[in-house]
Amino acid sequence: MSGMYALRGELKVINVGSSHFHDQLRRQGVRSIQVNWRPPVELEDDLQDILKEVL
Amino acid sequence: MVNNEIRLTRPEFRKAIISKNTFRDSVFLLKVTEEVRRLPGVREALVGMGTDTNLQLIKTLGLWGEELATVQSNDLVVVVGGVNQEAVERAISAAQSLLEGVKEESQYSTLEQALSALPDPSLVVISIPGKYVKEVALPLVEKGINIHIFSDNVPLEDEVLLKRTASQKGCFVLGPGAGTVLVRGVGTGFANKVNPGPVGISSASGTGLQELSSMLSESGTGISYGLGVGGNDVKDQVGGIMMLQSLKFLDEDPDTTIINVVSKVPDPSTAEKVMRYADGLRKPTVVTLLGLQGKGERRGNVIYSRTIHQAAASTARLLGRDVLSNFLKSYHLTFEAVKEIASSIRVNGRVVALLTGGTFANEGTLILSSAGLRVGQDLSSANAVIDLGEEEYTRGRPHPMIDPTIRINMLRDLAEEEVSLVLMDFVLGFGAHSDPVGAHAEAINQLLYTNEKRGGKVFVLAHLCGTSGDPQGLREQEDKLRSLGVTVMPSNALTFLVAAGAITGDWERLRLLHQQLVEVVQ
Repeated sequence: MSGMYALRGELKVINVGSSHFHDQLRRQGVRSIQVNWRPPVELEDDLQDILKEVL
Repeated sequence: MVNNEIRLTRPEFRKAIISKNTFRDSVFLLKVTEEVRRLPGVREALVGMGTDTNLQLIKTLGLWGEELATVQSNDLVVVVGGVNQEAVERAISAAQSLLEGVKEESQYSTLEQALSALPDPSLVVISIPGKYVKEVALPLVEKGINIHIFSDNVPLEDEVLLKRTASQKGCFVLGPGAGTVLVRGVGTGFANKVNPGPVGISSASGTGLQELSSMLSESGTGISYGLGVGGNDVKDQVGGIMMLQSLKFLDEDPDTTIINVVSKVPDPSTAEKVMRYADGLRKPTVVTLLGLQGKGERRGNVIYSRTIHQAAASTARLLGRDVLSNFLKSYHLTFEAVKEIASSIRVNGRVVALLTGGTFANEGTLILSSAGLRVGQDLSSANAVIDLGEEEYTRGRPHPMIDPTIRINMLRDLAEEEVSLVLMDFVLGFGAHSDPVGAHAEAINQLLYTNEKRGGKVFVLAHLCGTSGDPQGLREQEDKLRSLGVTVMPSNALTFLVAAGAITGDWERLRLLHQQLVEVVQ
């Protein structure tokens, strides 16, 4: 089963972000794996300006 | 708004550590804060991102220092106040070790690694800051993978793109801002322990879904799927894309025999579209679009109800005599019973509802407005219904169902004022605080006691949203509320009907509202 009908089969979850929800799924006996997401590094504006000139 | 005053009980010793550009999620940071607070010699502590809400809270806790003046929302702040400098230093070190964290086997740093370990997830749950959701979610949706976006503040154009793509690929984008998803007895996000059963729910209302599913489960039936689509789905810019798709899914689902639609106030064109679609469903359907005028009524195969309470009552009736009888016993109050409670409350000061459920605030405001009452949405108004899940209270902090800090501070502030009636909700279940009533006990006591000392009386009405299977224990939480002197109401709608009666004393109007808003639709 694919797409929305995948919800009719066994619930297998990837949890991206707050590990609280991963823990709660585990407590309910659900197969869940956790992604400890971090925001992409945002370069400071002045550093970007320097890079633009160099590159 | 949160009180701007700096608390006078400022701890004598304090220290703050700022880590520039360091992100950790707010629920994890709350857990670290709670552990640090429990350490010996610690008076107050806050470990959180440097958002306006957190900086304000640091001031309220008496922990402010000038070194925090330049902190940005992407900086991590650890600030501790204690009885001596040694205790403070020890607590700061403990916080730093907790922040290092422990890595489990089932944890990954990137989504790509996770997808290698689990290539065919049936659902990906996303709770990251809204502006980053599109770049994480879109590649998944393009592969036809279902996603539940818990995050708020996702730009509307990102939501539209994600949902249109999902519609083409035949998968779900549940949310953004969807608190709850239920899949045959399992909940993601905030969800109660409900039995699997024949009722399928499509919902643009997180706590609406929690209240309806809990009431039905406690009445002896159960839920096949509870598909939260997020409040913006019923705005005309999105046009109910996922609500209609979830209705198609439920209409085809062999385990679902009755369908429910629950939504916060929808935009008019989308409301029309949802009602037209519901008309064409093969299964009996109960539709609750908050804000619709008139009384609950049946049109063909569809029952239109005005409140979550009425939706649960009418669904129970469709399921047969036993379920209806259980519902009426556990949740319903006759007009006379509502009048009796309302008559016992004297209102000669402010009336304030401090709610963690957005739908409860929405439904409550509509009920008061049907009774001819106007209320504001923050503490600057004399009478107010406050949704503490709104962005201004949650920026950089966990949802108030997990973190009671903001509501506790508001109760303490209200203790100093002329207040007659305070309305509260307590939402139980997976994802919520482990003891929400216990966490508020001291603040509720202070509110009641301070007023009594002044010769006044505050009434506190509260309603619990939960089931007997929830980890917090429904009965235990109810008992705690009663022992505090709080009147426990069976549903949000009845809580606000009582409030409307207590404020207006207009019993004829209350009788009519009771009939229109909470009676079973035949």
